Amino acid sequence: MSLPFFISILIILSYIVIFMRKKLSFISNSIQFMVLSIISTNYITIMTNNLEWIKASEDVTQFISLLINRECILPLVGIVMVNGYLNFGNRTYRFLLFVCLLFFISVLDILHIHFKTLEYPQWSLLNTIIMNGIYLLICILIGLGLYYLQKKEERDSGQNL
Amino acid sequence: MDRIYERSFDLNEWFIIISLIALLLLIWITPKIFSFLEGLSYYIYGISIGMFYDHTISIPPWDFYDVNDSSAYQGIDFISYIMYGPYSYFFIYIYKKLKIRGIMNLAYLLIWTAFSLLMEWFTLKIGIFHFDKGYEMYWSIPIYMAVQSIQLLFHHKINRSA
Repeated sequence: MSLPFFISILIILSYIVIFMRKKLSFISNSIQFMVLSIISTNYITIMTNNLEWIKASEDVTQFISLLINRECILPLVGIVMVNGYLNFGNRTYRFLLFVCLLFFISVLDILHIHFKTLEYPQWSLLNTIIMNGIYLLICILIGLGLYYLQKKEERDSGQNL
Repeated sequence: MDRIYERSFDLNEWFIIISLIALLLLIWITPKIFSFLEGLSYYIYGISIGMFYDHTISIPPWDFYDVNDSSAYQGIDFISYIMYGPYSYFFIYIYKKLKIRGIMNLAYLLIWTAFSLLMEWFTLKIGIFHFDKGYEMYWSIPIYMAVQSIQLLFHHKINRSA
């Protein structure tokens, strides 16, 4: 039951990312996407398999919805966050974007609990919301770092690596 | 319950650390043909793809194989994913140096798939991978071909967008 929801959300989010105005280049956005997928993958694996604070469903269909969230939706949200942050000069708009995206990814976590994809034996929804907030802050930091490097490369037009 | 294969710091850990350092040095000394961000994107591609597959098919519900000394996720596992980065970097580096075009793309892909399988067999022998849970190496063939093809598309997309 959770899978159709997450596939639909992924498609909608993909359209938003494709057509939104992006200050980061294709390479920077790709790096942002891959780094965020590494972070979310490690977070889920450590929480579910090592610490066992969160229990992931062993049902294949539900696990695929978790994979879609982990590998695609969360990194795409990170791309929306950082490009939106760079697009908006106003602090209020930036804060509003942060709150909207925090609400969005937290609703996805509530959906995971609702569909029993995730259970919280030693964890709480409040902890998840805090972690989501930290995740979005990390997205902004990585994005700003990439934007700085991108601008530097555009200035230098050099080949460094 | 985690399955433990061994507890000692031996060949698999040393291979990961030494090959990572050696490959990073190789990146450092070879002539630079990419911008910093482009090279970084190829490097991170290898890490994220390796991590994606291992954190998908080597954990429940599939749980086909284990990585390194234990079925639990350890620090050395993370370092082993960083080791994938130079391979994906040199995959595009050599591709660009050799100016691969047309049907030679397929030949290049097949050579790298064979090389990847050879490396997988070697890492299996030294205890980085454990296929005791029923995974067979031939399943890796389409995986290598798919991820390498996606990386070639990624490289061409970067070239077009530059």
